[in-house]
Amino acid sequence: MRSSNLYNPFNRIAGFKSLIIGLVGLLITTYLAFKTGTHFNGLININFAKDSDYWLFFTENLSNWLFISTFMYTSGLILSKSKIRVIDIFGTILLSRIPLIIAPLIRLIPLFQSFVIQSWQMYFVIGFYLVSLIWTTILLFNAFKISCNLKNERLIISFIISMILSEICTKLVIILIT
Amino acid sequence: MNKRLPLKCPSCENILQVKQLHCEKCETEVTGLYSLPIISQLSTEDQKFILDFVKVSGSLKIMAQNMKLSYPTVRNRLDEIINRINNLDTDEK
Repeated sequence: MRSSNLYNPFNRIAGFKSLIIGLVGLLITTYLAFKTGTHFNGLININFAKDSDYWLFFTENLSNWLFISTFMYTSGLILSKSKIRVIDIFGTILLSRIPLIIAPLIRLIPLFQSFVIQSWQMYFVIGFYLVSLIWTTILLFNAFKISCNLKNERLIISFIISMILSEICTKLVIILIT
Repeated sequence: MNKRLPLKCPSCENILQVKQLHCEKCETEVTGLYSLPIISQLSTEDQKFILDFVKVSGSLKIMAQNMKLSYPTVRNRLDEIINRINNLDTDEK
């Protein structure tokens, strides 16, 4: 496997294929998050809480994906000169979120199932989460770049604005439903 | 050896023009000053892309399958070529 495929697989995968792979990833991540009490309550946030309903985990992951995709698609429609496809944006962005599976996956190991905030186990999990978050952000950036064919300052500014707006909207949705 | 058509002047980087044409069969030579068609001014890779694109009836989906690349990657490549053609067109005018 070429290293560029790890941070930019979108030269080869996009559209329906990325959507299907991403959906499988979303469902597995949501299930593992539910089993381990790992909440993705915001685009870049992670929290740990026991005994929440499955639908809450699903709504968190779903709203994270839908908001960022919608804002990036809107940015593409406004700023791109290319004929962009909605399936490319939603598919590649969903695929970008697969690395987030790492944190709930680690929490499946009995040693790391603690809910104590200031424990070395928690620092270990959060450390891995940060790595997966950086990886996901790089993937999101490349997904947006390729799907919308944006470059230079248009790309960077609209990416940052989309991220901020999605974070705000996801937080609002989670506050409203809990 | 497959010789590449030189497009730019090695001295000043300006786009070259055709001054002389030659018939291999009857040795006729035509001298004048002719501009290269825009498509000839593109790189060999861009020309190949355009030919392949025409051969698949302009289907980006089939192009993506043949090139083993994603649809948006191929579409972005086509947009870059269109941009280059527009720039060459503007330069000529």
